[in-house]
Parts: sequence; structure tokens; C-alpha cells
Amino acid sequence: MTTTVVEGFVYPNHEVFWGVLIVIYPYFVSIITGMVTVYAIAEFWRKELKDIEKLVVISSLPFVLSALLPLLLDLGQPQRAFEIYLTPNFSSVMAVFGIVYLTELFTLLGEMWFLFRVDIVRMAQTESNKLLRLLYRILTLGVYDISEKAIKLDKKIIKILTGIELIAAWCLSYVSFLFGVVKSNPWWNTTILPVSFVFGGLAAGGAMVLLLYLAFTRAYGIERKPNIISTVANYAFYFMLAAFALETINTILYAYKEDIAWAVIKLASTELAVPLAIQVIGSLEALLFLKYVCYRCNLGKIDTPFIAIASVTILVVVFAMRWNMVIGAQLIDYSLRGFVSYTPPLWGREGLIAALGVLVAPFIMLPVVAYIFPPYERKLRAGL
Amino acid sequence: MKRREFIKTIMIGSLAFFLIKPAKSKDIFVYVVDSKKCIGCGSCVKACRAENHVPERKYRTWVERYVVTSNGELENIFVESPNGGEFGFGDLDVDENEILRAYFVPKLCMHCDKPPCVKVCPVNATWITEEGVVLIDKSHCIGCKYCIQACPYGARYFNHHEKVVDKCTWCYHRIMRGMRPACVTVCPTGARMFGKLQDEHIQKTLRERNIRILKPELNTRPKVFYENVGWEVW
Repeated sequence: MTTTVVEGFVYPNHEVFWGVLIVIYPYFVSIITGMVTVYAIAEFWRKELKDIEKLVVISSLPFVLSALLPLLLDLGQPQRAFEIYLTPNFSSVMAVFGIVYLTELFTLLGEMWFLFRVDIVRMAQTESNKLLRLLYRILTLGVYDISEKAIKLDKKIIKILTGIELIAAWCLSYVSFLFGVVKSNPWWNTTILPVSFVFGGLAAGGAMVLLLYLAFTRAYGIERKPNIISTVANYAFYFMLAAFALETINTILYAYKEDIAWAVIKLASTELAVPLAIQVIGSLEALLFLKYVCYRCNLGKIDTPFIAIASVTILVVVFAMRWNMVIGAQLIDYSLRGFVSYTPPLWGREGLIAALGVLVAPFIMLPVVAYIFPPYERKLRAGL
Repeated sequence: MKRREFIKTIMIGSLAFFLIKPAKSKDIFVYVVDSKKCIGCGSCVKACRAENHVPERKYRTWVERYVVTSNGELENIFVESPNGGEFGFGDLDVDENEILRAYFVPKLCMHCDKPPCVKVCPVNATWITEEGVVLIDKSHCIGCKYCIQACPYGARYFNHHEKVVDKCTWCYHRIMRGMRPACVTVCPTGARMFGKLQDEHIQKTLRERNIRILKPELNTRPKVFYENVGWEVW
């Protein structure tokens, strides 16, 4: 039993229907939105981030691929999932998500192809491993033209794809509408939720980029650039600040208005003491650390532990935000007279172990993707 | 056919396909609950379970007891529904003099005219029939549970055996053969009424002033109407 009545009256069919897996799903989507936005910033506005373009693109792919996992595991009939494409209901946010997801996936794949096209062609001609050479030959799609004219065209197409991908990624973040449109749930039914969700996601994506930058520069033996860290940390700071401010405003508005749902929301919040504390204390700590990181980077110094702690904190805080949003709202019964508690099971399809597997999945895929599409020159890695 | 004409035909055809919906039948079904007549015996819940093979601890219909008390202060509201009211209700542990009002309220799917559950289903597995009944195609449902989240009345449940969502159908298999839903048939006091909107006994009841629907602020337009319930019922 994962749902237990704690206090008051709840409708007899009430359960926490969406568990820890559906917490991970918007969490991954948040990270994708943030990473794609960092990529778009690099492509369109901040040329100093050009160095991390390839890194961000290859790192986005495992997250995009993994975003489907929690959904499929949560479905009662996962073998019918494709019905979303065969008999879609366009008035359903979930059905539209299916279309947006495919758009995001294909634009990302296209972007990767154009971004790595020159590398792929070179590998197809020089790779000594026969199997890899065959793979690269297939990946060229028969196009071996790497003349200057062709590369110029590639860059133009990348810009167009980045624009589409950015829109798709922000639309992906509209997964928050999936919750926001549920008018019967007072916790979800707020105008602020979709906006704070996007900002939280942007901060999480920035934090993930920072962490991956630390990891990849170490693995490839590349010198870290303070201006890259400073720029990404600065964006993450403002995004985090906006998310934190919006969440706080939302809570204050609820508490002040004291409508019929507030009494039960207040009580149910006791069940969320830990994630709420993480959200508040973690946000403040991350904001402080991020500003310090920016300050140090502007002096030309890189404090790796501070960057790592700030990034991990943001990722934990955004996870706590998603937990509070998905689980917290379901603790309240629609009778608005009682609430339940939720403890995820350890085993099973919707259990903690499965959830952990889903969380780890992108990091298992990432080395494979990075092996095929190295974000930095291979010779540097070989030199290590 | 010229190209221009062909494109015009295609466009008009597409518009017609997307915009024109089948006309709704005038014979829509409605359901009326007279709370004054309900004695909380639970016969309806048992009959529903037997008729529709509802799994244990899940309910297509249930009965709630409302007890409003006051000991000189503002009203206290106590609501309960032990086992969905299937086995009746125990004695009240309240001073009788403090009770302002106490009554039973049967609940079920409201078969809304603007059902949020239908709107959110990603695969069109749930829909509203010409007779106004909201149904689920269990062989098509993907079990995403989004409709359960969207239902403000808690009427939908997840069938953990079949791994799909289920709910009250007003016993569609019976009403389409001219019978009444199982819960209406077994109610010993006639607290549950069912019929077509144009039926005389339904029209007579709907003309009463104290008739109301639940959660009207959500604009779901339920087709289950309640008579003689207090403001505390939603």
C-alpha cells in the first residue's frame, strides 16, 4: 500500500495515482529545456559558449531518449502507448506532448548530424576499427561533401534547427500544462505553475551543463574556461531566482487568500516537510554559491568544488520542486476535506529501484553517445 | 475537376470533418438523487459491485454521511464513507442535541456534459455518447490515469487487475435495453431516480427550486442532480 489516509475524509477511490516515475518525467523534461536553451544561447547570442555546443547537444540526446522511460513504466498498458500517435485526442495536453516530443527528438537528431557531419565524414574515411568505420559510413547518409560551401550551408541549417528545437523544448516544458489544466486540483490549478516550472527547468539545465562541463573537461584533459562557467552560472542564477520567487509568490498568494483548499493544503504540507525544506534552503544555498562562482570566475579563478556543489544543489532542488508539484498535489483529496500520505514502494515497476534505474539511464547512455560523437578532439583524449 | 475546385472541395471537406459534430440526441439520460429518501443501507453499492464486477475497495458508486453539528459555535461538518457505505453506517458518537442536520448522499459519475476526463484522454478511449453517457473503451485505454486526475468528483478508479481505468456507466448495458441502472433498481426508498430528460417524473423533479449540482463552479455541467442536500455537499 503506497497511499494511506492521514486525516479527514477522502473519496473512497482516492490514491496517489502518479508516483515517483511521474516526478522524474517532468524533471527530465526540465533538464532538456534548460540544456537546449543553453545551446540556443551559445548558437545565437553568446559566442564564448561555442566551445560547449557539441557537449550540450550530445548530452541532451540521452535525456530526450530517457524522458519516455518513466512514462512507459507508469502506463497500465504500455504496449498501447503508440495509440497516442494513431488515435490522438488533440484536446489532450498529453497527446500534444507526444507530437512535441517527436519534434524535439528529430530536430535534435538533425542538429547533431549537421553539427558532427564533418567529423562523421572524416571518421568514415580514417577510422581504423572496421565496425566503427561502417557505422560512420552509414551515419554519413552518403553525403561526403565537406567543402567550405557545404559547411556554410550546414551552419545555416543548424541555426534553423536550433530555432525549431528551442521552440520544441520550451513546448516540451509545457508538460507543466499537463498538471496546470487539471482544474479540480487546487495545487495544480494556478497560472504561476507553468511559468515557475519553465524557470526551474532552465536552472536545472544550466546546472547539468556545468556539471557535464566539469566532467568532460576532466575526461578529455581540456582546460576549463572561466568565462564559460561564469556565463552559464549567471544564467542559472537568474533562472533559479525567478523559479524560487514565483514559487514563493504562489505560496504567499494561497496563504493570504485562504480559500477553501488552503486548510487542507496547509495540513498536507506537513507530509512534504523534507522536500519543502530542501526546496527553500537549497534554493538559497544554490543562489549564494552561484553568485560566488560567478564572482570568482570573473577574477579568472575556477573553484571546482563550489561549482559542483551549486550545480548538484540546483538539480536536487528542482527534483524536490517536481516532487512537491506531482506528489504534493495528489496528497490532497478532491473532497478538500482530507489528505493522504505517499511512500513509494522499493520494488516493482513503479518502485524506487525502477525510478533509480530511470534516473541513471541518461548517464549510462551518455558515454556511448560521447564515444560515437566525441564533443572534443579525439587526439586530446588519446593523449591522456 | 479543375485544380482550384479540387482544392476548394478538399478544404470544405476537411472543415466539415473537423467542425461538424453529430447532433446530440434530445433523449439524454439524467439521474436524480433525493438525499431525504436515502437511508444509507448500501444496497446500491452492493448491487453495483455485483452487476459490474467492481473490484474490492473500488467504487463506481458510494454513499457519504454528512453530520453537521453545533454547540453554540459555527457549524462543524463531519463526513464519512466507511467502505463506500457498502455495509451501512455505524451509530453516531455525537450528542444528539448538537446535531443540526444529518443525511446520506449517494455519489457516482456525474456524466458531465463538459467532461474534463474526456478532454484530457490522450487516445480518445473515453467519450460521451449521444445519450449523454460517458463511457470508457477498456480495450483502448492506455492506463495513463490522466482522466482520474481530471475528474473532480473522484468517480474514476484504476483497476489494478485489468490495468485500465474504470467508472460508472449508469449500467449502459441495461439502460440501452430499457432497464434502469442496478443501483436505481435496488434502492428500497426510491432515493435514486433515472430517466430521460423529457420524462415526466424527471421534469417534475427538475422544476423544484432546491435541486442542485455538485461543484458548479468548475463548469462541468453534471447530469446528476441532487435534491435536499446542504451547502456542505460538493
